[in-house]
Amino acid sequence: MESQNVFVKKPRKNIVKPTFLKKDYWIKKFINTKIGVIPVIFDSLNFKDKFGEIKARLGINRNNYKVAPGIYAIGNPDENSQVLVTANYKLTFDKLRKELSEMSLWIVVLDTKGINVWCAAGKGTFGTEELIKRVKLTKIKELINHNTIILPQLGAPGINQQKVIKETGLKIKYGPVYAKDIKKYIENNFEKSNEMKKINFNIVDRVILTPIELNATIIPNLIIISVLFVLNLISQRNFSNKFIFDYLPFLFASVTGGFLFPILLPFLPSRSFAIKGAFLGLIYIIIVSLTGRNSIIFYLTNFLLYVPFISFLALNFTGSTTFTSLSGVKKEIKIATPIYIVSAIIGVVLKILEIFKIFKETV
Amino acid sequence: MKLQYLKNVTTLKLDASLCIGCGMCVEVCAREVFTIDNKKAKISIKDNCIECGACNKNCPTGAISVDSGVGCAYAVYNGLLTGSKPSCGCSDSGCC
Repeated sequence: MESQNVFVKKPRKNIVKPTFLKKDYWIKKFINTKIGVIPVIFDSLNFKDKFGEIKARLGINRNNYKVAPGIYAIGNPDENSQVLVTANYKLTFDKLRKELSEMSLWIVVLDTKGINVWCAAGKGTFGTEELIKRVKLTKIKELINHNTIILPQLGAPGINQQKVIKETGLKIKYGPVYAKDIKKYIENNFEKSNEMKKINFNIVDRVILTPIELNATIIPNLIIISVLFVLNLISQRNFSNKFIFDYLPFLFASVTGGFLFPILLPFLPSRSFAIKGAFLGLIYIIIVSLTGRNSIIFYLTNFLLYVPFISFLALNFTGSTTFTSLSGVKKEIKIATPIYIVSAIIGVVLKILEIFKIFKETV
Repeated sequence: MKLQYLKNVTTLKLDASLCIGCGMCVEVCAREVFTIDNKKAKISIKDNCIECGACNKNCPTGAISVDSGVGCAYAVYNGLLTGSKPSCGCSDSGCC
């Protein structure tokens, strides 16, 4: 359902809003140009945009939060105006346009399937082929009297610059990492300070990711509580609430791995995420052990189950960070996975034996 | 706080004989791995490399090589389970 075909419509005297291009709420108006009708977008966010961001951060409808690929205008751009290229994830699009107030620019939105620049560049959807295709489809070159396009620096992993120059004749400049620096970058005649080149991962960046990490544990939690419920019914022969107490450590471990881990990340020892996670898991087990008197088997079971579980959640956070590498992750997985599996199997067996009260006499 | 991942794992290599000192690698690297020294690129903080592939893809002379990919355990597990290349399960979402 792309609407870029509107951009190649023949010029008309009067501005006619094509009926098949719906006026989304981020579009201020439409202008007629020599390459067709182009939407002009707002340079500020309204309530709907902000509410949309909250929903996306929580993971609600995040997979379908996009804008149509094609050309957009901001301010009153002309043939001398700069061209920015971005992804069609609505959150990315919003982060960009809200930094462009009082500027006049053309914005080319690539079809990255609703994914942000950095991830889409890694996958290749913010990539050479799509950029070349979009430049040709939108006829952006006819709109400008220069031959430079500005890409976000984090798009660079997806772009083969030489090929883009060869195929389109356009020169690429890699702008700053963050949209907030674009204004300064253009004003400074495309000079990037070292700060503009660096990618951060501060506490706010990490906290914002935690709802998605927690979301990922919902289904495992539902499975575990159901299994414990059934096991409990079988072992007790009637209903008892004991399964809740068997389940709670799993719930808290999920929160520890999905919420506390991202926050504590820089403060946990070791460079390895698996070890950082195991360390946090160990602290978790110690705290759980302090909360009540229980059998050695109970502690051992918790240790075997939850240290690797939290370590596993920690390892899975690698994909959300800005400083991990494929080779490193492969190395971690190779070493950690067999330990996880062995530990989890022994833990599950002990847990089942405990539920069926096999150890009752021995403790 | 400076966040750095595992030491001595990156596959990044620079062939200085091919380097023309254009500085593109310095420009695209978000991790300050490269510096320009005597009109040649130099890998100055190797363990900062996250193998994103930006330098390799944008180097005009092919002086830089790296097995690039996403540093994402979910993707690697996915690749192992499906027997394909590591890829996030988020092909249609805004994850990572």
